[in-house]
Amino acid sequence: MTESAPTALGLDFGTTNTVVALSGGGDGSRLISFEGDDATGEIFRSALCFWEDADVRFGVASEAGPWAIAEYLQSPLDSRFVQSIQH
Amino acid sequence: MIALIENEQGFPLYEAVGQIKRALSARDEAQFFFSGGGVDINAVVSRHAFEQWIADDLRRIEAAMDAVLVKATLAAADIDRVFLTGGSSLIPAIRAIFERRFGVDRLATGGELTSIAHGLALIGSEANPAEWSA
Repeated sequence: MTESAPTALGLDFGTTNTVVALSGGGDGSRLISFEGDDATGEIFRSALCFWEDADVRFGVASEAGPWAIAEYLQSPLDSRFVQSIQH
Repeated sequence: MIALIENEQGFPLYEAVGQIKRALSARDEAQFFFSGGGVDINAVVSRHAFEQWIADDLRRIEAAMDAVLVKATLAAADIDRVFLTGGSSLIPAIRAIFERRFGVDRLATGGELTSIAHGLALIGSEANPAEWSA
């Protein structure tokens, strides 16, 4: 380990995309990459999806970013998809 | 419009619009194609037409830039470097506003989708981040 832990987080919560960077642990800043099926790396779509699910707390399940899009496309009539959230 | 809403076509339409907006940043005209919910649209859209549709936004962006210079009590000639970022900075008409005012040599760009997050993180790790708040 040559770098210490980051001390600052930059969050660009944009209308279309959200991007996160960390800095303070050495030179410059580095982007956070999201991983997994349907992931789109560092560019995370500013989107949410909600749907009813009796098995989860409060009966409403949710996903964000690329996973919200995947959920919505899988069952568009049984979910609520929200984007351009700032407006 | 009702067919698009009833058939949950909002997202595919949004994606199709995003696609042609990106295409028009690179070309003078592009094909808009949308098919879904019983609605079929196939049309050529020119960059010129797109620029007419966003003309009010372009004027507001230019006015905001002027307001920043006034607030900073600086003339355009006093600015050494202008860094354009954000997806909209890829729109040629927006870049043209800044080229007219500052000249192409003083414009810089890069990391259009990620540079804001980098900049915010760097500000956050400064000794006094409050200096950067408007």
